[in-house]
Amino acid sequence: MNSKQSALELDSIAFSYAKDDTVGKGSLLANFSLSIEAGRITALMGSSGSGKSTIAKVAAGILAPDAGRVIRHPGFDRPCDVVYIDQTPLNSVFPWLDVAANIRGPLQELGWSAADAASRTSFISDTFRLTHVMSSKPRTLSGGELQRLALARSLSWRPQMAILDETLSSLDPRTRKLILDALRRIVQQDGSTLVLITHYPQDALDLADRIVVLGSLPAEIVDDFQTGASPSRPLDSSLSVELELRINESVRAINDKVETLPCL
Amino acid sequence: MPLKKIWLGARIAPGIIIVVIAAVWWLLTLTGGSGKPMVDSIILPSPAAVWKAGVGLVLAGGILNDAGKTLFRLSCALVLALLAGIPLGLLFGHFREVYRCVEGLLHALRSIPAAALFPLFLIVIGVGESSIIMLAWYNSATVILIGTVSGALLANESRVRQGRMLGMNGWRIATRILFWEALPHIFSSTRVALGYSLALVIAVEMFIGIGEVGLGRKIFDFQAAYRIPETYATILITAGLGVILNAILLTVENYSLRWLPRGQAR
Repeated sequence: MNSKQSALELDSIAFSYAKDDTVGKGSLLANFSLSIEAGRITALMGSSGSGKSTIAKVAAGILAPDAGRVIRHPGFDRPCDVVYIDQTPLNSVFPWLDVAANIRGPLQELGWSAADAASRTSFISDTFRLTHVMSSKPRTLSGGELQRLALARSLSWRPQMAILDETLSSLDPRTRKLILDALRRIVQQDGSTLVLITHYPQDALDLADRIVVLGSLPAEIVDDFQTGASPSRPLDSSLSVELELRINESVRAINDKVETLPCL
Repeated sequence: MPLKKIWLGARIAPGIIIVVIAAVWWLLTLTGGSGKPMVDSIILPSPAAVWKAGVGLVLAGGILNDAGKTLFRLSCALVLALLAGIPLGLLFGHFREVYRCVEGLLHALRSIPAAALFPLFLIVIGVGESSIIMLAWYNSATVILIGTVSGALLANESRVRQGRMLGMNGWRIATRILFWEALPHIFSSTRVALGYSLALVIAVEMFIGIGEVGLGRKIFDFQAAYRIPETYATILITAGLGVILNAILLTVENYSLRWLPRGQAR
């Protein structure tokens, strides 16, 4: 089992997109707390509108909470330590640079030596199967290649923590498998902490060793359990089926009592 | 197949329109049974007469000198406008608070017709090459500045955030990210500025003849001397200059923006 040291903590977070809403009905997060442990793969699950993306953005420092604290523990406290990747790959890629420059760029900005940058670029491009398109511009890549480039660039500088917001959701099966394999390799090699935001149990079960299921708004944790999986030892299928049932049950229980989302 | 036909049509149609206009022009200048053309040749000379005048002007060589001078003034104005407009635009795009303070003033300045400011330029800079260039510069610079700022303001937020996360300072974010994000807007505003500047340079050349050189000056002189075919020929040469410059800019633009993701607004 990995170490259980906390990497990032959300402490009593409140957040609402409707800032002038005095009644508080539009609150997505109220008194929400969650601790992400270092070196682990945590999946944050919930149906659409359960606030999981908001939690991810607050954790990544993109959204400022209305109340509460986001604590980044030592080792995770530089801006470049926590990277957030959404499901639009072009948001994480510089389209005017070719693939090689996209992967190398962050390393140069962070002052890596040329030799280190070159060996890291070659490792990353190999891991994400991009070696055949190194001198291509992003616009010429296929959807799967572009998605892989987005992850390759975002993970190039070995960020301590990567938050993947629905990154795996809309992938074709082949790309999905390539990316899962690449992420496992990255986690093994770099010891990165991953947070997966998803509404597909399969995404969570394929990679995560801890699954947090979110309930109705304001977001609350309705289930939180260890899968016992690790990058080198994926879940066996019978356990996976059993856990999927458990997740589906939690989600169904929430859906039964969930109110419709207020219009924001 | 139908698509191909439409495409062919789109390529051929402009050519057909030009041929039709030339034909109508020629018909209007035909001498009928009365011995007089439908339109007086003082108002509209025949295409043949204009062609002959044009060839004569080019062979004499003077008109190329004029076109060169106009092109020089135009290029100076545009290059200086790009040098001023792009860095300032990126700066405003990065420091949005600063831009908000000057935005109103900027739009007010742009709303003043540049030609109305020409007397002021004459007082401040004096009659000379530089006042023509500065007037065209002023107009182009505001257009390019506003184009650059709008492009930079529309920059992808995630990419800018990534830049900050990697410790890039304002200058690096402006040059490594905002510049590229704004590039499509920089190009389109430069083409708009080119049109304005050509119009301004030609107009100013008409009224202050510095060394009597420049296409605008020649159009004015030929008209004053009732050399109507030469007037028309010079106007057409000026139009040709504009068309060629625009085509060159478009080519550079298409080449420089080959990386632009499909479907992204230009």
